[in-house]
Amino acid sequence: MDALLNAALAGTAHGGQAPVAVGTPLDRLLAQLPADDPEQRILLAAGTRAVYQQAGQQPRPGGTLVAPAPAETQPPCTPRAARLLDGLLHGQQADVLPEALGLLRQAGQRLPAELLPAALAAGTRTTALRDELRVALGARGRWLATFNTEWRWAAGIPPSETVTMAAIWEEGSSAQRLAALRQVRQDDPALAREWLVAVWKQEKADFRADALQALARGLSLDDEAFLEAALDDRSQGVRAQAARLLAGLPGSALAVRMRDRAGALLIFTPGPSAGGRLRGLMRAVTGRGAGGRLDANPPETLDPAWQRDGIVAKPPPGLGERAWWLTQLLAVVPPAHWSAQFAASPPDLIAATGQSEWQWTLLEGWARAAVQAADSAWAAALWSFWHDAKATDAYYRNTAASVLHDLLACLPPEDASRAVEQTLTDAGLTNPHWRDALAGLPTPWTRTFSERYLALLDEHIRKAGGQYSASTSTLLASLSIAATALAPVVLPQARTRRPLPEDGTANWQLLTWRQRLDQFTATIQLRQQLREEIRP
Amino acid sequence: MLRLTAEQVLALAPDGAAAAAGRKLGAATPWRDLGCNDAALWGECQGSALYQVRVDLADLAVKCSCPSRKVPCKHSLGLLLLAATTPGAFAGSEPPEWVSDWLARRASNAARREAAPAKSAPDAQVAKPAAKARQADRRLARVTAGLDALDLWLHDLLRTGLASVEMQPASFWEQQAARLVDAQAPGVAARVRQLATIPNSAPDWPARLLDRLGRLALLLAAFRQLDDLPADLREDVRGAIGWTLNQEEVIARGETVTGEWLVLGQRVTEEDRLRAQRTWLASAHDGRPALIMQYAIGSAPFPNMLLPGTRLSADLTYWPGAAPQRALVRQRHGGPEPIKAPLPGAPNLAALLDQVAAATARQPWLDRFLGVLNAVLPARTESGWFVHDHTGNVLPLAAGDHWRLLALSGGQPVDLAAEWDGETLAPLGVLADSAYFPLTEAG
Repeated sequence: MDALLNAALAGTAHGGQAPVAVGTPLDRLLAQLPADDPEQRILLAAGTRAVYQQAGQQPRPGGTLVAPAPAETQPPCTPRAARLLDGLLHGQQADVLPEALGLLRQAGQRLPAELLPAALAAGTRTTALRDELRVALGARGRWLATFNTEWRWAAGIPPSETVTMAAIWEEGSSAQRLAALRQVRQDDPALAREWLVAVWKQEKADFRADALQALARGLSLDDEAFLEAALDDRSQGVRAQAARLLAGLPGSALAVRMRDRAGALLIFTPGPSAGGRLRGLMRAVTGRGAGGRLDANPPETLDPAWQRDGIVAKPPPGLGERAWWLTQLLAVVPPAHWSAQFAASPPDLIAATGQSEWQWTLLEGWARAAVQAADSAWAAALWSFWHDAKATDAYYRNTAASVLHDLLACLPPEDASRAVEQTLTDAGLTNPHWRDALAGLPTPWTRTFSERYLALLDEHIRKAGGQYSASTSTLLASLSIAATALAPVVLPQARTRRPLPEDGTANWQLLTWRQRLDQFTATIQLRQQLREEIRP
Repeated sequence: MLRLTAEQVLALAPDGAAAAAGRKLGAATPWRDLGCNDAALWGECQGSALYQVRVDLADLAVKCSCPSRKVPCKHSLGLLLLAATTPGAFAGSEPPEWVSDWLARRASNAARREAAPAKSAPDAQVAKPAAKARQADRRLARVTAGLDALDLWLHDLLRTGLASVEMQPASFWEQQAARLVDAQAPGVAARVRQLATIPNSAPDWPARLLDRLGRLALLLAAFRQLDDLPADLREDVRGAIGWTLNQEEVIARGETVTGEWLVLGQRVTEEDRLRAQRTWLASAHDGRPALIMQYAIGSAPFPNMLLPGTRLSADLTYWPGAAPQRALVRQRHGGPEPIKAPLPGAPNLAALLDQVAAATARQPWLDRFLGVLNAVLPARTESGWFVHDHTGNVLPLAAGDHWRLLALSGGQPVDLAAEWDGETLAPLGVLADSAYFPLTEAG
């Protein structure tokens, strides 16, 4: 610390004294300071020095410079598109952002430089945007991301030819090692497995479970022996993961064991005449079945061998043990097995459960299995059933929404559309799952579906003639889903203003509805603007 | 016709909600009878009622018939945005009566203001010169007494030692500042109030505090010798202590410079309900800086609309002083245009600091400077944010995030405008790819 500051800190009452000279040209000025006023001497010397230092500031020599961003390969979007994107990135109508980024990718355009920090922040907040963003960021954005650890997800792969995957696998952090493992698994599944086998014993349980997960890609019977051994791992997480993988591996010994166990529990009695899909469904819904009968007989106690194969003993709240074991067992057997085994179509088999006390357990197990096996025929039949029927049991009523969501998600878009299209009626609006079904459809909706939706909306408003019902609420609450999901081709039609006539009684509600309609129109307009602005 | 970008229009918005609403109205749909001529833009907007919106292109003054208290309101923003993005929507035509009347009223108000000082000033001088002189003497006496008391207080502080202030409450400084306000020395009061923020603010706070106290002591010493100082420096000392000049006095005593000015950046600070706006301008011709300070109460607009990123042709009058910095916009000639050309800046960091040294030598109480730099590289390192020049030197950037600056440069040299406070550069705006991007929040 310098003498002047020391003097000031101590105070003249405690012996602080301004130095007479500091060895700079200031000394000439310091010499003129009043000798009889030590405080003033310190103050003026400090003031003079502060001005002297301000005037004498020099820049420092800097370190090495980073390489500039590589040249862009794509043109930027138009300034008008940039402005719209700026609003979206800052949270205004952000639900349109994925579509806007998709348009950018189709048009082969990138975000302009001034939007990059906002775009990187958006991708850091919302993981789902990252894939589209990586493209839209362009070379500049990927370069920028290398300066901020939070933005690492977007950083271009560092140009390091010397660092091989094997070196990362041996020396990297857990996350890096898993990434390397996944990468190698993609190119050479056997090599990835050999890597893992070599280090298996010395890794921590969490890592072992995550590493097994990395094998899901490119899984084959070559992996079976290793996974089978992992069923006896000391970690529950690893055991469960190994069982999951083996169950999903067609032809594995575990899959066969599970199928046989399930087969032994199901009893099917074919009916005199197998009906059509609709009749079968009707029977299932009404419980008046004549097309065959399916029943189940889950065990009273849990065989340890089942547990070793991944069956969890303790049921979730609200579900009995036996039902839970049966659900898990059915969930790993591809449902096509049952259609073949019992020589009956999915709707018929679903209908045949109508009289079983285990009906909903069977239906949940199959639903999980259909999703797991991505069996669209089963998923479509199960979706219709779960959508229209109402479980008496609270557990299944509560599960219905997520089951329906998963089933819909595993249908091909056209099938999903067709299934939900049936619900676009005034009667359909009273179904408690109506809105969820709409929300679960892949976007954008098909043209037919979009047109049916708009027709329902317009007709409902027209027919209501100012007399609104609970259905009106349901319908208008779905506008926020439709606004981002409607097929682009119907946007001009969707944009028409829809005045709601007064009903005179429920004004506050009318106000909410009007706001919903305005918001809907605004989102539609924005989507149209984006389409006009972002084009190749 | 309007020559602004949409970003610049949106920067005019008083808040985010108005900007969002304005953006929605920036499409042709809700508008009718859009028109323009050399002086103005106008149109009628169909909202919950039909609103008449007009813009004076000379200074971007707006007027809308809607009841909103925001200036500019969302309709005005929408009209400006539409003009910026879709100029084709405006037909050149004769303004309707509601536009021409408004323009005429504005013109006559302006003329009255110009004429007013010429009429009233001689009257005042003739009427009560004696009273005014008495009033000035009284104030001088009060200020002198107040500053003498401050001098004693400073001496006490140095006698006890600066180490003692670490534990002092805020009132220790506040009381002293309040006494200086009573003594009609608001400039010194503000300096004392700033001192309160220093203790414990950084590891080297004692050195900072001593610097500030020293400069304050220099100001008091200068005031005691006011009559011996050169006339222009006398103005600076009086200004620093708190004597203010009204617009007529500035115009009468300051230097007026006519030219093209670049509006480089703006900061708004708010204290109680008073908003203070600092706008840095630089002459497009030689880079001479000018600082425009404006004040507004609550959400009222600032009287003079200065849009960062634009270039305007205007007469500026500087406050008198040894190194004039603060200025007022006396007269505009024509509407603003976006900045596109390279900035008139220092070629490297050392040259910038030379400019600072030269100004400090003329006026030692200056503590903020406009720094305009050509071809510098912003950089993010593990030890913080810097700018590099081509000679290999660096200066640190002010605390905060400078990601937009880095994104806009992409590792290539850019022209940068910043505020230099003696230690760090606080970016005001950057010219990249022939477009100027303001880097401060809009006021």
